Amino acid sequence: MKAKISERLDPLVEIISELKRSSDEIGAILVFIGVVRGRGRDGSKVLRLEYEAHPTLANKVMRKILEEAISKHGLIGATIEHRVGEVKVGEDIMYVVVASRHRGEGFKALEELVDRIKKEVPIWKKEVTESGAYWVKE
Amino acid sequence: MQRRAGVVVRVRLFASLREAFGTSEIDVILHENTFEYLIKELNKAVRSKDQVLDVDRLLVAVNEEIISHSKLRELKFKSGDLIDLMPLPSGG
Repeated sequence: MKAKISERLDPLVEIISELKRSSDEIGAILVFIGVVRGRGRDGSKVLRLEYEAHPTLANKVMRKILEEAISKHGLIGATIEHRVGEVKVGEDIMYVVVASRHRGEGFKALEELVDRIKKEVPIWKKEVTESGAYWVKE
Repeated sequence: MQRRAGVVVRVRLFASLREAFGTSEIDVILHENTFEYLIKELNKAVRSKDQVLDVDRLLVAVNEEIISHSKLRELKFKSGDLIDLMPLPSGG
């Protein structure tokens, strides 16, 4: 289990390899990649996103969400990585990688993890567009 | 409501709230050690009406423990408490 918040994401292949090496019971690995869209909610051209995270609570909440998902869905392992700082259009923002025995529980866990990260982890984004910059309100 | 003089708490503000208040930290003297009073005091300092703190849209932590909305009314602050006021998350 790994939760990381940083300016850079680890290479996805390394995250997957690490999970694979952790157990020979793994039958499915599911990956979610969050990417910066080129158009904002109002249709304006996005220049970049700027992410800020609470210095301690963001990681703490992320780990709690991971632990709960692993226990609830019987996952073998899972990794979350989320960037902070400036992220340009087309770049990856977040990886959520889930390793399970079968795909069913993996799909459920992945969707739940992504939803909970967006709703519960104290991370905030500012959208910088051609028409201005504003904090995104969910 | 219980009245106490001189309960000093440190409030940290994040993201849009930091920009609204123009600072990342404020020490607040509370004459009533409740969350309701704290929000009332802080709202005196906001610079425009649209920046008034809306409790329903806040994530709150005390001494680095997130407090659920249903527990906010039960909070009783003591001097030295560290209170984090955060917008609702918008990561991912």
